[in-house]
Amino acid sequence: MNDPSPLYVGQLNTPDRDAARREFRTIFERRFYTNHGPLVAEFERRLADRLGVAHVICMTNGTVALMVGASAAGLTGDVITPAFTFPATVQALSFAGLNPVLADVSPQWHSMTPDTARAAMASTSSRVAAIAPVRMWGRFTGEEEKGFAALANELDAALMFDAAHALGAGEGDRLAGGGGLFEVFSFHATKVLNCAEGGCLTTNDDAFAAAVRTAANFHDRPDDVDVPLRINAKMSEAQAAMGLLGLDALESVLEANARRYAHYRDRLDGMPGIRFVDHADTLVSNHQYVVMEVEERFPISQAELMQHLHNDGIIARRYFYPGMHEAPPYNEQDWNVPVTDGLCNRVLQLPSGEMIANDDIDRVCRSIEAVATRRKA
Amino acid sequence: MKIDGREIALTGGAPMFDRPRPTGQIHTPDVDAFIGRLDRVLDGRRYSNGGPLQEELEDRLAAWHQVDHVVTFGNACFALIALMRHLARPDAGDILLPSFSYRGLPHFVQWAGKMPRFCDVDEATHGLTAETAAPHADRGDVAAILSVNNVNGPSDLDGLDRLAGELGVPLIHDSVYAIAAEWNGAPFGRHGVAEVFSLHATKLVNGFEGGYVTTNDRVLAEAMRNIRNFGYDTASPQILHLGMNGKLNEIHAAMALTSLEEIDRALAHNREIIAAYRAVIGDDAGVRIVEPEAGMVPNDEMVLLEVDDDHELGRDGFLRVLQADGAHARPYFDPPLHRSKNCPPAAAGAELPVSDRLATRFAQLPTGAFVSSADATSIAHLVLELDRRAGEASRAVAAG
Repeated sequence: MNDPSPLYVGQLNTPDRDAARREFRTIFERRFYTNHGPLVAEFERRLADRLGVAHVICMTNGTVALMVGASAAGLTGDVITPAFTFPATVQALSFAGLNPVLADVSPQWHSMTPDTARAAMASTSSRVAAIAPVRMWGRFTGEEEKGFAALANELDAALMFDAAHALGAGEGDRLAGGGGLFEVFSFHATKVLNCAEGGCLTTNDDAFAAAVRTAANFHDRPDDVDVPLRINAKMSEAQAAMGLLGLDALESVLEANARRYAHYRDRLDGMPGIRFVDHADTLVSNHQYVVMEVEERFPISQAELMQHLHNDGIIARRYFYPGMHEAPPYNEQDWNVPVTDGLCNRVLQLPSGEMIANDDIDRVCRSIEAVATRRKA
Repeated sequence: MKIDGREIALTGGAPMFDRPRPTGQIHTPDVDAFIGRLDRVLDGRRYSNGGPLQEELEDRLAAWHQVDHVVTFGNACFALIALMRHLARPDAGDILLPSFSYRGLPHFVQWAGKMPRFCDVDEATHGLTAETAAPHADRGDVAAILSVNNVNGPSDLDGLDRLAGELGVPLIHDSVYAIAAEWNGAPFGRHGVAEVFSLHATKLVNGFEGGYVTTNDRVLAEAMRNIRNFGYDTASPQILHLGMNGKLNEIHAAMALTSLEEIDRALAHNREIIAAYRAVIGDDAGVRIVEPEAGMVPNDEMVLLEVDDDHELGRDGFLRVLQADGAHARPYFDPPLHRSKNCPPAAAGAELPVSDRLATRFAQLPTGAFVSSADATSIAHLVLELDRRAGEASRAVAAG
């Protein structure tokens, strides 16, 4: 093969250049760059409509949205959250003054469940103030949400969802966004909706929304309420311009993601030692990630397969690696998270997003097939 | 009340400005140059995570500040939180900071896991000095010093260095207001262990939102690069620190680069505006435009009107009249932080007489790209007449 261009993970959905130029020129005509501008307001309205929630508050990024939400909830004490997640989840909770207690995850779905959350309570003797599940790989089920709500209710704890992966994900006509006290989403360039960087908090609680709006900036505004802590978490007009362009294209992005995902599955389903996390059967998925497990019986390990793919110009990624139980400062404590340990050494994320055509997927699959028939060493 | 034949808006006249004149810089860089960079971002699909424009911006800022390292952040607030979280002593609880300053500071300190301990400031520079800060260190438990360099002059750079050394704590400078200014012939950026600047649209270099750390400490710069990206090592998949998402995105970097190229134009505009104010408002009146400290080449990013304590109209009276006329002058660092709702209850109770006095004394007058020299002259005439006819003006304010 003659040096094909590298294939990357991450959506990197890019707006039409002329449309982007037009949108940015309107910013310069208004000379309104940040601090509660008209594009942010429009973006928030359209997101609220798309997700079916009462309040959307856009911020610098999804991590900061989780920091602000957890802080504005006025909590102190332990928060139960998964060890198998992107560092942002756990770190944001620490910044908000909570003490993360790391739970293991379901081997099938890779996400914390009400049962694994309950099991993690053995690691703590103090009060559980909050539960912060992650809508892993954009998976949303009403049943799991009910289970978390019941657990939160039983513990008198706040429930907050890290839905960074889950924009547009849902079950039937219910979409992620209205769960618990609040949810947070990411609009990082690698997500389905690209604001370069960006994120938002969603909630149906009017009083909490007012607290979050106050906490996310330092301006005096008529609707301010008393909050313990504030921060500059403002989304700029540039980020909102990108987001609005991305919303215009979102439905076609989701369709194309579903087609790419199906093509991967057509090629790789049934290959011994490769297991896909299938969250799309009866659920609405955004197919943002193409995630598979490299099982023990596959001829080579996840790390070896990743290196093999890299050698072929396919920049697959280990997600998540390392697990948060191995990252400082959380590694100062011993955590009982065997499923997470296994997943960190089994999960690979394959190239996706609008730069990846069916031919590229064929190339990835050929590369995997080339090692799949080897004898296990 | 009529001034120069015109009824002022407070007493029912048409406002001097139909579109309000703000105090922020809000410069618009060359749009085509920005669009050229935006095209590069879109074509390369590099939106964040250490992209080429962020790297170019960091290199140019380092050269401009004459420092070894610049680490950009999503905004100056994230940069200060990251610095304090990383540098403040883990075995102590409080950070010393000035009370006469920006309302965000006590919040940043708490996001960094510490409590603010407010200190008084110097009457002239409005910043911390070794003398104003040292008494507040007497009861121990000091984790760091957060000093602020203001638009009119620096804090006590050498004295605070000495104090920080004696206490064994890091000295961090918030130099947001000193961007593009020079002190003793050199730009800010190399003082303390690190300084922080802003790329917010209301500041001199407009990156929509943004901020950065300057330092000559290589190890600290590397830690800041890790921390802004979730604590990840830049060379391996290891996580080294408790991190955050503090990244500056490429579109904001494109804007800041374009704006930085035109910094001389912005500085010249500011000089013209403040000269127009000074040409009308002299030294002998009950009000004056604050002069920079000797040794400071200022950025003139703010025009500070100082109103005598016993002035009949008073600072708030000036603000009422000016705001009604569309000149959106604002109080400057009022109330002082130790008496504001931004003060956590545990940090209340300090007696800081200089901060108390300064807080009632200054108004920030309109400047920046939305203000012309002619606007500044008109506002200055209004200020001068209000000063001369303070009794009449104060009765108008009381009635209005």
